[in-house]
Amino acid sequence: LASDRDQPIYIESDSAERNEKDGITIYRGKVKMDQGTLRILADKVTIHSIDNQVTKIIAVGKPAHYQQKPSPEKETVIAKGNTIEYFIDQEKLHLINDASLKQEGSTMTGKRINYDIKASQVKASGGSRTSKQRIQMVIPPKPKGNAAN
Amino acid sequence: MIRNWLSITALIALTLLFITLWESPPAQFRREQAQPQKPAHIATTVLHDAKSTSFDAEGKLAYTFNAEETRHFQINPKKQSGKDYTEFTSPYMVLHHDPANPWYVQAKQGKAKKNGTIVELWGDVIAWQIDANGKRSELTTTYLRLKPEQQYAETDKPVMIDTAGSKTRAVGMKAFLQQDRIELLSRVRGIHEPI
Repeated sequence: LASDRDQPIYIESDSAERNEKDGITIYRGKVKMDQGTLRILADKVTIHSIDNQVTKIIAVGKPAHYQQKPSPEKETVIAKGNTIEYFIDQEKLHLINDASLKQEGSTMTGKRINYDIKASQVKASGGSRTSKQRIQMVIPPKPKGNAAN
Repeated sequence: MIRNWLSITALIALTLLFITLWESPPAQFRREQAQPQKPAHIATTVLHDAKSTSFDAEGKLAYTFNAEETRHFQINPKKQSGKDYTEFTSPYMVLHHDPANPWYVQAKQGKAKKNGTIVELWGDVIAWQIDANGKRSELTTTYLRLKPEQQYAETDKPVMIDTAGSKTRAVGMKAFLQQDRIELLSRVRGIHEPI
């Protein structure tokens, strides 16, 4: 939800390391992070802060999971990637390596997917021409009833 | 018939004897259990409102130490040894690894061992730092083991870290104060406040 970014971030993990000077906190081991309807599950989550304000979050996993409800009437967006970068100020998400994003029933996969949370817009890029990670988009057919309009 | 009676009476007598011995054992049994307590160590030196200042190898201020009461115990009256120890009440230390941003540590009780290279603190242990903007980072636990010369602290107890913008709880911690780096060892729960 739009209000998610104004919510506190709650995070649980097996262990953690804080570096006050650099403003970096690294959470390791079955990491679960919640901020409003946004949830990230990963093996490792690094929280970057400037003047004690969180600016960027990087989640790493095999894969790392992300989900968030864009608005009350819309379905939850579900995404995965070996690395997920979440830029709080710009409300942007980068899904890197084995990336996939499911939104309003359609699913996109590729090497890298950039998702603008505010605008609910997706931009994907595939791997090199030879790699199997080309962009794929699956849009389910509309149920028979609405095929006419 | 008589033999039956004899064996029953013997059984009853033995049982009664057993109960009597169990209830009130003769004095010599009791004396073995209640060994006299070894006399507690007697403090060889007691100081009140002591304050000490320590410098590192290059002569720079390393840490200062205050305590309401300091009691020093020398195990062997004839010569000092690594086993000697010092107990203190209301200890308060300032670790000056970074003169602009020292760590302050206080507790209810404490004990210094191995010629002061190890300091154990317990009872409302608080360690805090105040950054250049005046913001306070605070760490609280029930027990802390410090190595002042190495600016290092650790605990296996629950710990809470409160900074401007975040609150973190865990069980077990290793703090490398010189590098401002803290490792939280298990069951970590963090809350980061929004922008």
